[in-house]
Amino acid sequence: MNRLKSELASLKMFSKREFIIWSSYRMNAWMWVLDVFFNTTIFFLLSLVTKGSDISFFPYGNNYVTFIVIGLGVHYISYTNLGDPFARVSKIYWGGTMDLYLLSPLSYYTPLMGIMFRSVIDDYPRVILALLFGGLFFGAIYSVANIWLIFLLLILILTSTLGFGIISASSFYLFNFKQNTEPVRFILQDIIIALTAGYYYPLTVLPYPLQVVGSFIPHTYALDAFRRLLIPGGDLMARVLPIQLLIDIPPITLDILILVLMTIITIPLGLFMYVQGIKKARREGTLTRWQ
Amino acid sequence: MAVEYAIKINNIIKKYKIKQRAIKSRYFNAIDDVSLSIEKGEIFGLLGTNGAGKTTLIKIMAGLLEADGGTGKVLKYDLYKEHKKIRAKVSLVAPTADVGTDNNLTVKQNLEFWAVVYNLDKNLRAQRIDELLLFLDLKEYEDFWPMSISAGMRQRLAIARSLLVKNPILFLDEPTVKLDAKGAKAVRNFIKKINKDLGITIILTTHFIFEAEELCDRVAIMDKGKIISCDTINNLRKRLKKYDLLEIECSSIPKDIIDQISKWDYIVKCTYNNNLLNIESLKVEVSIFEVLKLLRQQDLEIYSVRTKEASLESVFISTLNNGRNSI
Repeated sequence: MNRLKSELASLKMFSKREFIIWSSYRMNAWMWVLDVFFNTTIFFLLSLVTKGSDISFFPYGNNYVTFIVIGLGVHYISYTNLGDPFARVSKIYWGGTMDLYLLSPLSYYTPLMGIMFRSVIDDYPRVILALLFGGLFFGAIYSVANIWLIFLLLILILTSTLGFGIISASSFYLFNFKQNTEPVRFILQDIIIALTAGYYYPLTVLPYPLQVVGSFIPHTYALDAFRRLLIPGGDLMARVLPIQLLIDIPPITLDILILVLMTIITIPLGLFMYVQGIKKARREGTLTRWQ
Repeated sequence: MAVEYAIKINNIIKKYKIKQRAIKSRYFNAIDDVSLSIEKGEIFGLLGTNGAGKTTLIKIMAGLLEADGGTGKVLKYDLYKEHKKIRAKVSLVAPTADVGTDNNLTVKQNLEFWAVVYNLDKNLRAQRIDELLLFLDLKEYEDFWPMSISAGMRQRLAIARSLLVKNPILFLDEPTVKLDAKGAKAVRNFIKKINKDLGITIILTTHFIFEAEELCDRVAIMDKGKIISCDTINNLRKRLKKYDLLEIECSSIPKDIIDQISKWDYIVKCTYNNNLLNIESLKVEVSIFEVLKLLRQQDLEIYSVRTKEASLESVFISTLNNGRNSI
């Protein structure tokens, strides 16, 4: 119990430190708001392409701005959770602080989670802001039919992408990927997600093999469920994804189950790999680099 | 009374893999059969050129690096099975103060952050931080950004961080390497103070010979992963016959006075020829006053006094040469 308390106190301290740093740059906040605004604008401009056309977004209603703003929101979460753990571990290594964290009573995971608070502060609120800008300026309309379900999906997309992120981070020590390009993140983020996540278009417009590839990433299920629930006119029962066509369960239930499954596989696997990586680095003398 | 050891390691080996080509790699011994005993409360120096294996050795002793062979205990904890317990009981300061110092936080905020990370009792944190700021002369800079204080102060901040938890062992890896003479002197004074006032065993690495000479009770001279000599500085000098020299030109000295001088502490050899008194001493700065006082008491005329210190540098170089010849 005491141990948990001290780990939580440390996490709180990390978040405080990251907030002090984040807020100490006043320009940051303005740049941050502008960045989200312009990103939303770009997505809105993309939506104009479909204006007046009879392109179908079935089963995701008929408001492409909402469709694309939800894509932007999931993109923010995914980009942070998938890409950030590796970048943070890299920062600990190059900054030379891994040794100091190991000399503290903290668990191996707390520093990793702790320094991710910068992204939590910086990136997660972007989702709310993007949805807000979409609604206020660009004509996005949201139907909040089931707020608890949306909240549950939000947690699941956070945890499942974080699991992949920790796997990516563990490769820093486990496979000695000390440079920026790390295969797990590269394959997932820059290839599979970029091609098949469906930020800008429904997965169903892709060739079937790509739809199958897209079935292995959490974005597919999160976007499917969010869009059905949040876009007015979304169909809750129509089955369109490859796995939905195979398993006879209501689509949103299946989306949730798959996200739960991805979470319970990727998070323990990531944490296990991360510890193995640290142990390996302790044997090889590559825990940190003092410059 | 039996000697209490803070650290005792035997035949430690550490090999690093070096990639030569895409597939081919070779191993080299970063630490090669090193045995060492460090007493509680002493300042122990690891002296050696760059790449001698000093940092690797302290990382092994701090539980941050696993040895490939040998045995050892740090504070009675096994080096292999209880490395987590070792890490919880030792502190470490890296060669650069920037390690662990966040330039976006003030001096005090940095310490507050690490106090929580090191799980310092909530009720004691503020008091401990204040104590350390005062102890290391940083109190008036507590609200400064680390970037706006001197490198020496930043190094003291790093030392303050390492002292937040009252651990019995402190490892200092080249603590003055990036400091100017003034900053380095201040840090050395604080190292002495920490050892004297807090009773902490300090193991420091350095390639500054004068630093080892000023600070260390004992030194181990390392070269190519081996310890080629380990002793007090005086004993190293004795062994290598590297003594300070004191030459006093004076009027004739009675033989009994020469015999008397020969028996004093630190005096290795005392001879008198042609009005020249030649003394080989382990500590010329002590001997000079005692000898001059005695000669004056005897009403002898002193014409000139010359000293030549046998620095640790000459001992170091001789030891390295001897070590390399015997390897």
